[in-house]
Amino acid sequence: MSLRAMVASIRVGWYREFNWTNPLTGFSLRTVGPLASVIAASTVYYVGSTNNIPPSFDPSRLAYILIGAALYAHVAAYSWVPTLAIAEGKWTYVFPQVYISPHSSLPYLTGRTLASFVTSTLTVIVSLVLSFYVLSSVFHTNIPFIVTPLSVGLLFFAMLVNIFAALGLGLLLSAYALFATKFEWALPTYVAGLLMVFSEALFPVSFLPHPVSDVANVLPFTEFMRASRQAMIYGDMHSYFSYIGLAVLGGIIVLALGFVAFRYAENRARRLGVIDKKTA
Amino acid sequence: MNRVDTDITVQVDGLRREFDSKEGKVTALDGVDLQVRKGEIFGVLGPNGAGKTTMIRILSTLLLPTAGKAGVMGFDVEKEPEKIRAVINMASGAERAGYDFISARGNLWFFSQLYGIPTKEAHKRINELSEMLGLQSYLDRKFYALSTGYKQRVTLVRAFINDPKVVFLDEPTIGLDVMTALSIREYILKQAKEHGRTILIATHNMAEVDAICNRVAIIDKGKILACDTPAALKRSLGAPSLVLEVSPPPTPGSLEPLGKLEGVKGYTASTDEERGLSRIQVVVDGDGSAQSVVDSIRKLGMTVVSNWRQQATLEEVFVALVGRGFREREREAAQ
Repeated sequence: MSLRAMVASIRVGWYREFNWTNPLTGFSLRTVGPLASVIAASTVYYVGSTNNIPPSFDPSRLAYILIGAALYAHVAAYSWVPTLAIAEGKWTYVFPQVYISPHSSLPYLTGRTLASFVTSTLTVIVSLVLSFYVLSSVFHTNIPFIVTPLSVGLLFFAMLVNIFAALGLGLLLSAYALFATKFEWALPTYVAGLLMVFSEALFPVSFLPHPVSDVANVLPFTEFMRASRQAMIYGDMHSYFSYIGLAVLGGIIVLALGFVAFRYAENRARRLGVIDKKTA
Repeated sequence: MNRVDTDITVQVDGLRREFDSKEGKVTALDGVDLQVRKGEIFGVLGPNGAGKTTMIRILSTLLLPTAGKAGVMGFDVEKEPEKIRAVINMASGAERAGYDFISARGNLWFFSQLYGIPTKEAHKRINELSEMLGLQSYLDRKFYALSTGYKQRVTLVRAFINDPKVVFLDEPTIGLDVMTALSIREYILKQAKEHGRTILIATHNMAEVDAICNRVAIIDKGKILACDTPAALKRSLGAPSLVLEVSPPPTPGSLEPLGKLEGVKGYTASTDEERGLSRIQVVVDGDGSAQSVVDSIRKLGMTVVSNWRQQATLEEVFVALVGRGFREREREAAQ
């Protein structure tokens, strides 16, 4: 993989995300989405649980939802970047040019994803901190987060580990975008919706019917959510590292699948003649 | 593929490409054979839909052939695309690749990085190539803020940024004003002469081919009809062609009898709306045929306002080969 091409693509990715405005405004606007997602999910839970008879509000459950909603928004924000890079790249004719340069499509897509990962990580951390203070004061409750250098470090580590799975998912989606001329813009939104249900973002996957719950149970995104909650809420190091191990393993499998699918799609798209064809 | 003959940079043998469409299979290339030599500016001339862009897409590894072989620098497009990508570049006049929100310089730097060029060297090349095209004072403008002509100059700087051995240019001056087109042609000539690059240009601009191409292949309906130097192709016509200005302009199809006259190889017509005249160019093989053309036009109810003989152009070569001009061919294809 060409490192130089990847670094240049990271730079282009940041330009792509912020260059239409100044970085501060761009960053602030990009924080609105995850912040709204976290506050909305937490408020729904708070209102629902406090209106039960008897009330069933549990601050640790609120922390569970807060972490899940924030990290779901994080994954959803950057895993669809490869698809976007291809779809918009066909419009601007940048992608065909990237494609005909040697060994560049994968470094390009990886670079664009990493740029978005960094931005998304920062916006999610900000929205997590803001929502923590806002919700604590509005709901007059103590949200049981473990905030130590170690727990925050472990959360970052989990986020880093999850890049494998997110990039793999991104490549799977972009494999479709390579030869598709319809729906590729919308596909990541559908997949993100499924991810919310199947990755333990808001509720345990054991609530899902069999065999769906079994599949959801082994998804690397689910393990990532579990590991992150162990770091920030429950503090069980043994469980944390078990989940991280499973997230790495699952992530590598998804990445390998994404890579194979992308290579297959590349060849098929070349045969169909759609690599440089604009979408419908 | 002949790897021994190092003088041949592009080799195409029996190249065929079909596309699926709602109406069935469409053949874009139908058994094309071609050889382009090192340092040559080679033109592929034909009307829209003739198969020129398809050929460039195959040679630049964007598209796979349905049958036949195509190779660049001895590497096969199907089996060794990565080796080809390392020695080529491509630019399309219809597509000006670049990120709107990044400066021209930023875009060029990005593309240079895809080829692994160190940043310092990349900026040196960007400055040198931009200077040749008069682009330097526009390099720090955002891509979206550049005019069509300057975007095309950026595209052409990008096409040579990796010091390629072979460059494919698809309609490099389409939609540009005369002066910009001239400076681009000069730049292309310089790139071939001073750096020994092979440049394959697909175009329907005959003046462009005449001005800069060492050799030209005339293509129509996916087949190469003739391949030689522009001068030799024009010489092959023999007699100069006959140009007639007639009034009233002919109705569609009314000139069909001209094509059946003895000694007439083909004709093409265009209308000057302002003057209410039509200009008919007829490729004939002698003076006797010329007279029968004039007589035939009069019989068709048109008045010959003026007529003269004109040295053959590449369009007339095309007319002689196909029996129709580019415009008629494109109209037929659209129907």
